[in-house]
Amino acid sequence: MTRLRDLIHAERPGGFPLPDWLARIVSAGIISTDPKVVRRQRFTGIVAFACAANAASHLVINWLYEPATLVPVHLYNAVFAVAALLVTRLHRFGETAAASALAMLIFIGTMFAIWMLGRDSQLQVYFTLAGVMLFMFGMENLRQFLAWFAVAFIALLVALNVAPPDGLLLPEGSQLREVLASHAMVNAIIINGLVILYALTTLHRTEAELERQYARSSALMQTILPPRIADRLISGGEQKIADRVDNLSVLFADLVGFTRAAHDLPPERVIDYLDDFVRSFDDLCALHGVEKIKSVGDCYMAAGGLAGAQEADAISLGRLALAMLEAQANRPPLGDTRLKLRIGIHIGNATAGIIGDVRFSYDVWGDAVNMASRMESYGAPDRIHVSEAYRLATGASFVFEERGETEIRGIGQARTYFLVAPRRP
Amino acid sequence: MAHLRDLIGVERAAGFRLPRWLDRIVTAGIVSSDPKVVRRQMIVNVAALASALNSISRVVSMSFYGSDEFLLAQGVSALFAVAALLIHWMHRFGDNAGAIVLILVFAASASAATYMFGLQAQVQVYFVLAGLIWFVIGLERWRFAVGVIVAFAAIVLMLFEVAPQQGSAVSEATARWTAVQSMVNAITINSVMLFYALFLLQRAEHDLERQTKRAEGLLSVVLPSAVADRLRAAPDQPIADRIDGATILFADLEGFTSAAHAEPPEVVVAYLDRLMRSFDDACRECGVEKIKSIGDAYMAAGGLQGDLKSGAIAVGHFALGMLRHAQALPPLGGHKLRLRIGIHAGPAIAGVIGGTRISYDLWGDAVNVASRMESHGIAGRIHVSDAFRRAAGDAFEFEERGETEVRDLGRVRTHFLLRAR
Repeated sequence: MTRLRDLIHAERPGGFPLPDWLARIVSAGIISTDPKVVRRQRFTGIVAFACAANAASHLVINWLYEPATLVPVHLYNAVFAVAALLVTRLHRFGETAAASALAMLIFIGTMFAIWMLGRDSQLQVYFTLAGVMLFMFGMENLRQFLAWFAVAFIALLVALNVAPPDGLLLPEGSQLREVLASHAMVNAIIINGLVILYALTTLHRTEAELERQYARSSALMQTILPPRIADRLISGGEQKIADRVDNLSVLFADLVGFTRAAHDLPPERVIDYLDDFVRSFDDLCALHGVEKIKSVGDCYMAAGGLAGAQEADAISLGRLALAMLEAQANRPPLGDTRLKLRIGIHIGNATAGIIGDVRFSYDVWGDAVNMASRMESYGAPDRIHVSEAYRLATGASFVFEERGETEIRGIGQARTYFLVAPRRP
Repeated sequence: MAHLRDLIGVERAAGFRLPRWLDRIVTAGIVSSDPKVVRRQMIVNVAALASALNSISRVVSMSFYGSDEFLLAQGVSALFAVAALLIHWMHRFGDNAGAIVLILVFAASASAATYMFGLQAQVQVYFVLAGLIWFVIGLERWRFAVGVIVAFAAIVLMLFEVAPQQGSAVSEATARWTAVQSMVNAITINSVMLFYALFLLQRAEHDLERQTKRAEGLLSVVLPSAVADRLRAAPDQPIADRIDGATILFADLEGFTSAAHAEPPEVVVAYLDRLMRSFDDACRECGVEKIKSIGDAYMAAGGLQGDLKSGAIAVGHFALGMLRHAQALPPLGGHKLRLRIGIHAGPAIAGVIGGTRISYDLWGDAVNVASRMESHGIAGRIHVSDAFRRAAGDAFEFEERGETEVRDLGRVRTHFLLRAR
């Protein structure tokens, strides 16, 4: 049974679970409300933070290695780190303003570093991460990304072939270059790992949410339509449902005196009682292989023979009626009153189908329904009032008591019976 | 407005359709049925193939030197190529078996090549692709993945210590050329994988929007939006309200059953469908809540928020609209059908009860009396109780019916609603 709260659920997935301080840095400067834009700009924030952290790590390692001679480089790393973090201020100027600025900053900065320190420092390895920019620009801005990607690609080739191998700043520092090479490599590995982790985690969460919404839809479908009808629509591809069923048996069960008993009670108690009432009958329907159609107020409607087995289902419906009487007898009173059930059953022609578009439902119409309803309203408490047709259809399985002839509004005189007990073979 | 078609079942977005031979390569050896595992293993297959092709191209390019000293290097590369091509066989041993072997083959192959070609050939740049491990190892195994990334970083550091600057397998020129090739390959592979990730994300987000709309649409079939909102705000609070002034309307299509008797089911259903839809639309327009349809009967309610007067007026207008729609109906099976409407205003309990069918429903005096108004009404007329007339007041013109004997209620004074004032 579906739980109502599972169907109501409508929370959207949160972003990657970043620690608070990082989340604040990464979301800095974002003013857009479009979730896709926000995602791209947060990603830009992440890359900016990674660049700043990267520059900081270079600053620290270089300082430890050569505090004095590399002052321009220390300065460059410090400025680069600050500039990268400030890039997020540009979000307010446009969707891709910060992303473009960051791309420009990385390109210029890295080329500067390569020329200063030499291509043998292998700093051009950072260009292999160019694909990361795709998440900053998004598919919506693919052309901008491709432009920057081309820039990175060309920069890579240029650096490999044209940049001075030993650089301009410290041509004799070959050991520095070796340190830089391995440092840059390790940093690139870490940055790539983290960025891809973020991207795939976002994907994972979106796909998990997709599964949840799909399950939610399925559960809602189950609650609106009987499963075999839902199947016909989904798997069977039928566009409409309109079936004629001859010899459909229909049962109505009504709580006698409900309104009076419920009059002064708190609504929660009344709803509780009704909920229990409906659920217990739903279970009984499932048990007897009969289909619940709907409940209307304190009236419960079920039918047998919709899926074909009209004779067997007619008998099942009778058994269901007996089980319902027993269940109702065992139910605690509502307030001070022990409520009784009045049941009516008829077997006849009917049409079943789905009507409605936005508020659709599966329903049954026809002689079988009308007469069954009359049987119920002209019935008696704690008794199962059935038509002649029903008795003829199921006579061998039950013991009936004659009621005689009754004047039924809209139908006239009709001979009816009470179903009393199963017939012992 | 959601349509039945959309609500019934939205097909999952289809993936790419690959040509047969490519599809066979990409899905080789995969036995799992979990789509996420299958996706990861497909990526492993593609990576293994790329790795094998890379090793093979190395073997081929080295053979151009025609020198015996490269034989060992060629042999090693060939071995890696063969190992890579056999990776797909590992999928049957576990979800991540293929991925683990791929990682091992990749690390060994890249390390060996770095050693053979020398650091200047930049083959070690392939280790940057360590980040792609998230594509082949499930996110639940993140500790393992992080371990691999750390291991790759360590291997690189070690290679920087241990491997020669210039390898024995190649000349300076070849080393330069290989450096360019390695870098270009690395940037290309990395970017292609990121593009793929973003493509998947776009598709998932698009599907998510559609499914969410569908679920919300289905929810509005089951519950009125006000109720759904309340449940969203407080999911554990049951819905059980006592409403003092609810206006309830019942409408029955007189003669429907006998008219429908000889008609084919499609005609019957289509007829009712059209009528019910027009009623649903009228409900929306008048601000009235449709409760349910029961066979050829229709039940609606107004004033559920506690506003007796405006609810009653809305239902009155709705009833008039219903009559208009019914007038415009073509005959069914040769019979002109007419609507019989009954309205009452009074106390009711509203709530959501569940089970096989979750539904929002109303109970109480208001419901019973409204039902009696309908069953004791007259075709083509709107039969209302005294209480409704008092609630709706000056908004409509009424005709007194006088006293009528109503089952279970005795003699009561009722009226007919004629028109809006």
